[in-house]
Amino acid sequence: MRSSRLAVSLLAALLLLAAAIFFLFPVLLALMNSLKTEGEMFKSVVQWPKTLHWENYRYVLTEVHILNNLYNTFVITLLSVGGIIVCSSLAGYKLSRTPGKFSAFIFFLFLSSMLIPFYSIMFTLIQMASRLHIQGSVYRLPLIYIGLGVNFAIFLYHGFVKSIPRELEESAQMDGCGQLQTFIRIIFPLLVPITVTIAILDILWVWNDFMLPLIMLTNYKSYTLVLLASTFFSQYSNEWSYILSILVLTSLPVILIYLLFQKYIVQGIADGAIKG
Amino acid sequence: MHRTLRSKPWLSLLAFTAPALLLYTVFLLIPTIGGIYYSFTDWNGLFRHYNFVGFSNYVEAFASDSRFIYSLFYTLKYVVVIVVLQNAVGLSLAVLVESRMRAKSLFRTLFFMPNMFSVYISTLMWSFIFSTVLPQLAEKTILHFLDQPWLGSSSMAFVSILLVSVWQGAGYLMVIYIAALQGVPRDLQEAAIIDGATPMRKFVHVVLPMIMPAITVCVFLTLNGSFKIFEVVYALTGGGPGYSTEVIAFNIYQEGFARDLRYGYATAKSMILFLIILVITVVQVSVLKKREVEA
Amino acid sequence: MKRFEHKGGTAVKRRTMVLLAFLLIAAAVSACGSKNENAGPSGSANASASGSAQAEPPKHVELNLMLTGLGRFKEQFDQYLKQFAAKEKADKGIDVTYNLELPSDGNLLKTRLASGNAPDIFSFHAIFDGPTFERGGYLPDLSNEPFVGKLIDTIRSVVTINGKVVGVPMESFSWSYLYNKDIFDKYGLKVPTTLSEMKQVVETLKKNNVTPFMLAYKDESFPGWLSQLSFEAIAAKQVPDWWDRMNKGEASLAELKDKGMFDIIDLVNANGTKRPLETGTEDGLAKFANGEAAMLVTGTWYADSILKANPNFKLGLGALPVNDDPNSTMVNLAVSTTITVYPDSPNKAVAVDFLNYLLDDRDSSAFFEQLKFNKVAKNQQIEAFPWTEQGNQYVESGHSYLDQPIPQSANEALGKMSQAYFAGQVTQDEMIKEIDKAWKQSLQVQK
Repeated sequence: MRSSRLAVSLLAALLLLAAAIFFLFPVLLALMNSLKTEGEMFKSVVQWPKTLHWENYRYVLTEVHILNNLYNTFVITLLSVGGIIVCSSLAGYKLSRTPGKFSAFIFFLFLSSMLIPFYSIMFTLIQMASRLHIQGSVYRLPLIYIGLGVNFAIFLYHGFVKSIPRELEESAQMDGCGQLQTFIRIIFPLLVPITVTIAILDILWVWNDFMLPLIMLTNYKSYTLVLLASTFFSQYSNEWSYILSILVLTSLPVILIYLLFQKYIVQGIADGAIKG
Repeated sequence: MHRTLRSKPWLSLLAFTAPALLLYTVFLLIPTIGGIYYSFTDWNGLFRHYNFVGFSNYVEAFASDSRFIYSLFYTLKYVVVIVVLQNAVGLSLAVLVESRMRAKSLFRTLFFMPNMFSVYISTLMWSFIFSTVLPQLAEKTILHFLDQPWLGSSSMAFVSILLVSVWQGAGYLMVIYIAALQGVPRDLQEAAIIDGATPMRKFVHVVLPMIMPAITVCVFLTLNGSFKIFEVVYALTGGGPGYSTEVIAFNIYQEGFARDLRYGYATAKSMILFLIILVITVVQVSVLKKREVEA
Repeated sequence: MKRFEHKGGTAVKRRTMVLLAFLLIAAAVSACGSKNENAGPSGSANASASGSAQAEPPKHVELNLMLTGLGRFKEQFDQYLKQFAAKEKADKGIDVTYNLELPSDGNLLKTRLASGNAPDIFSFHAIFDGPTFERGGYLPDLSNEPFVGKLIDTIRSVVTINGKVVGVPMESFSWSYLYNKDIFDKYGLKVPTTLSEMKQVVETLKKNNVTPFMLAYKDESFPGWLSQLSFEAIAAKQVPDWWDRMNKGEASLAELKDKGMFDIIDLVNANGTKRPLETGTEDGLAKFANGEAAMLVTGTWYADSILKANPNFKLGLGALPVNDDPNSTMVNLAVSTTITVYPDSPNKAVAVDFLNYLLDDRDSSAFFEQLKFNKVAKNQQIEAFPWTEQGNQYVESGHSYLDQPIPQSANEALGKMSQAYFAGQVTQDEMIKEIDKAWKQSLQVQK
């Protein structure tokens, strides 16, 4: 019994190690090779660089104005996620509290689109955005993200609000608070856990999105980090070390946030799935 | 003002939902309706004029577009394999991580990390590996089996796409499975061990039924998401060699942007994609819901 | 909607209907709106639009330019536009400001054209986009403009559609395949003029352990170009009426296959670098620049990238032989980027002035040199690159043919099928059948 228990735990450890290598492999390699020169990389891709050639990074940071793209990505993400949270919390709360067929109809209206793949609306969305002069603007693109993101967020808020007792609103209104005030002062603070989940999921989505910025942001000055990485791919002939350094830089902000807040992030995702 | 809002609940409902409703209508609802409308035309996204053609786009997609039919089956093949693979890997990782005494959160962090990368970016990293790293490794070490046409033959390309997808998605499922595993009561598991069950039997007969809700959710997520796969194919193989790795979303993209710009036709095909996802998801959710065990 | 039992039932029902009606109307309006969009571009509202078509010339004009894929020339265009503004002010007293957009994706332009929100000046690909844009009514008739007379005859015919000159050609090429002059010199090789000579070149290279052809087939354009060069050369010399019949749906690539289209294709494919399906464009160009193969079947538009990878590279241009008739060994003469004006632009006059300025007697040569473009007009003095010189020699000796537009779907099929053919996934007949099918389908769609 003892030995088989040992064998099992040894096997488990081996599997875990293999999995760890598999998962770490691409990231490590990208990191390592971005610090090599092209010649070094040609000789061996898997060896650790002899000296750390930070020039690639320096070049990318200074010549490529990557900070500009970082700013774009940041603005788009902030406005989009902020907008989603504001619009969805208001709507989800009210829909959850209001009984009746009308409310149910609107809720269904939101939900019904959750399965629609982006490609089904892509072409007409382009037309709409063009007509409304949204194409090319970093500050107006969030409007589209909000439109696309509210359905799932409303769904989550709708469910979560059920766990808040109605007495809270009733007592607030008896104290003379208006509906909006009640929401802002009393309800919204209680929605923080689900808000965190939604914020995490949506930040991940918007920051890393590729398709929508590709078709909407046309001026290279307004490119997001991900789009910038894609242009690098065509611009820097075979210079993997440059390309890799930009891949690393592009992912760095999110990875940093992940490493700092991973406990909350992971918890948020698990909660979202279980309660959803 | 406050009294009016309170006495006419529908007014306050509209007020609260207005911002969300407006943006949603403009950017999701109307494009969807517009899409449905255009799928019945032969609009090419460039000209001002177009004709109404009824169902002929839909008929054409099934009757004469062999490339589309191929992409349907290819995507289906991918979906079946990836749903099983990703969930198996995700669940295995969850079990492995949960069974550890130490360094639990280290491994959890590691396996979830791929989710933080943009799908497009991480696929580019993998294409570096397939095109440069693995061939070099095969040459310089004993691992000669790594010398495959990873992106060069359609059968290997399928494997490459699977590898990248699992790398990207298993961590997400693992997190959900960990939460579910943590919800399985300890005493039940211990009772099973006392009764002489091997770890395998304990898992199948005690743990598995208890995490059925999580399995439902995870299968739903993978089923829904895998049908829409696009960026991995776009960045890794470009649908090639030839048409052999074209998935539905890529076929639609090519139709609308790279060929005769037949937006109307491409939209019809994407409506077909939507209907397929809808049917399969509904079926799957109702089937799995029946199998759930209440704790 | 069912009737409700609880209080306010009818009121709720009414509200719902109102909401539904609102949504449906909004949908209908947006759908109809796109159909009935009038020709007046709403986007140029920021110009002093009102006074444009009248007798009184505007004092201030803002030009909207959209030049797709020319992002790498931002500074040069900025500079040239400033020069133009100064000239226009001096000559006509008009203040010109401009708004330059340089998207990398061609779809933005198409969306703007379709929604009536078109830029005043835009660029397009003469061969790919020309016919389609012309059918959509998006190209002007510039036949009477001063610049037309300056154009080299062959180039002018590429930008003439249905008898009208539709734009100012910017990028022109004579192309076929590129070769490494150093390698050729080292082994005493001369540029082959027939297929047999090419086979000998291949043999010599192989004997000296040099890979004859660089194959970068991950991007399907490359195998597509090989096929294209082969069948276009055969059609040009041996089946001159093939294009006409093909565009009427009455021909097939099988005719060209019977005349030996696959000979050169098979030769190149069999003597190339390893793992071509995994070699991307940039990879292939860099490896070619570093001497890993002697020849590369692609266009001279990559000259810049190759020289960037290896500034000491001696680039040569050769014409791909398709059989043993030296007269069939020709280069393809093509025009890609063409700049033109939107026919219904409110600032058309000033925009056309800019188009003429692009071939200005005084400033055009310097501009084209900065862009490293080849000469398109007789009045330009541009120092030609060595490979351009070689191309010119081919053209002058009658060894060239004009690039013909291939319908987009057929072009995509050509690339993808050539790739699949190389990978052994399809036979020659299957490849031809697929391309024929796509071609016919394109013709159908164009009706």
